[in-house]
Amino acid sequence: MLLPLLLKTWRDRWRGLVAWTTGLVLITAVELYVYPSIRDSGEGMEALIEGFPDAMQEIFRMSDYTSGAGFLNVEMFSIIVPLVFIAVGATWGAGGTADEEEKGTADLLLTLPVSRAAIVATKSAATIGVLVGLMAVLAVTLIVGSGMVDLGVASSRLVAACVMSGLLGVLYAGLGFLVGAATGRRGIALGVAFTLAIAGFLLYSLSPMVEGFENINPVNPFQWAVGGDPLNNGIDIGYALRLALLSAVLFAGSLVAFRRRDIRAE
Amino acid sequence: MAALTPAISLSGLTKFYGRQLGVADLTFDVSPGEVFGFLGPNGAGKTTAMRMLVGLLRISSGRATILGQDVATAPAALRGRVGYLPGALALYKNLTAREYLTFVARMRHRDLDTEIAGLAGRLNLDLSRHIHDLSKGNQQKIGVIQALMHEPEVLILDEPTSGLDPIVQREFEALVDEATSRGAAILLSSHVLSEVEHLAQRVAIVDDGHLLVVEHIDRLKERSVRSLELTFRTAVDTQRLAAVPSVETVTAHGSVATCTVVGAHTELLRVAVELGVETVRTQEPSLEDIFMTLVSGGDPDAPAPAAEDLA
Repeated sequence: MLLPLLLKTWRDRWRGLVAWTTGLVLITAVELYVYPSIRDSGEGMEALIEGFPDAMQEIFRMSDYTSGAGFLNVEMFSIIVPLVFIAVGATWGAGGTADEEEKGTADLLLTLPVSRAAIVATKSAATIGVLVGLMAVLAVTLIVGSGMVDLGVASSRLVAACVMSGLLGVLYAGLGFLVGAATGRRGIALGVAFTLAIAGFLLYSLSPMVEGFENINPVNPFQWAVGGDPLNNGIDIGYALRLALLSAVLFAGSLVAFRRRDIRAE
Repeated sequence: MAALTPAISLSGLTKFYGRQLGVADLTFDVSPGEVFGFLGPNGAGKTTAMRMLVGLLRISSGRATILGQDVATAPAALRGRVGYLPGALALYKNLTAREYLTFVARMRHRDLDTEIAGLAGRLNLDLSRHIHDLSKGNQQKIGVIQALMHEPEVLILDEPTSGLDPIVQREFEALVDEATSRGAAILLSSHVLSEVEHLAQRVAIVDDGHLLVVEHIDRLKERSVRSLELTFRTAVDTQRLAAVPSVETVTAHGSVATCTVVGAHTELLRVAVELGVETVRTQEPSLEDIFMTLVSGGDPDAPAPAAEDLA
């Protein structure tokens, strides 16, 4: 691990980080602020949701919308939170080494007396660190906020949901990192990571309705991260391990891909 | 300073990009304390060879060593003894010059604040400016400083003087002299001969990925076509000038004759004095002249561009 490079990598992109973090905190605050009125509307809201098309109810998993966990699942953890983690993860991952290569700064960085493995490890750590930080901020916001609005979800469950979404972000970060390390092209890495993320999301979301899609769920990272309903059930160890192991494979693969590659010239 | 072990050694160094040839079969050594010029037109393969030496590109075949260690297998620590200035210099533009250089020093596990300040002073670089506000020349100074500041034993400098103004170039040359006098080996590329001729003792010339020649620079110049402009008191007898064996072509306008010459000038000057020459102007052969001589295989009919310019 190369501390100067780690700190520099974070420092270079602190503005984006502040923006994402602020956005996530604001969204959380607004949702939590709205929650008491949803809960207190009681049967009226249940009746309203009953009136929604079945498809919509299933896609957004609206079964217990007025409970704290149900509300957070619909409003945050089925779409927004996973996508924010994926967006941040894939962007940082795709940037990992490819950013340096595209800007041409890799030439000087890689000719310093540090191994390419150390550079990959440091850039990976920077990426994962950002996601862990975002995860922590979200969890703290939720725990503090849930006490204020009497959400009725245990802190451990809130943390569980954040961790699982965070791991999903780490996974797509690893994917972006691998493609970036193998090609030296940030655009391709971003494209691949986002395309596969959106494909995974659609397959998972539509799986209750489309015949055959549920067969894919066992290998769909969205199922692993969201399908276990961590807000109600806590962390599913099997799913969490799958996310972590596949992420580890992707980051390790980046190291192998990058170690012996020709670095692009301008 | 005898060349027991070359500081840089290339043997049969070859690079293919897929099927496309980058460089083929480069072989030469650079000794400690030597400045070795690496010449050729843009796109000849100089940068490719240098990027292989510093480990940015894999070697397709052949071998390269730095300080006795094979660059393909050497540990990263070897690069602690090497300074590299890339041809396409790209710095972290959001940093100031000082932040950048301090970052590089930290990555080298060195405290080089004194060296950085000293070099910046000599090259007249304001360290507090942000890199994105600096001109290309000033950015190049940062490139030079980061290559030299840790006093490496081997320097690989790709077009180091590009963008530097003449005063800074002179300071750069002084820095190169200091580096060699403490025993550093320097491989220095350029597409302009004049940039390397007062620095390098020997040069390699590459064209289209192939090594044309490795030679002492003086011998190379001797061998190559150069032009002499002779001004006489009266109209001149070009026949007698053309009869001198080393003279290849003669053109005359009234009392001024321009001769292209290969090798020693002695005989020509003797004849010219006999004919009453008043002034002699000689032009140093440019890389292009040397190039023409090499490519044409010393063909005496090869025209020397400089002579045409003078005619």
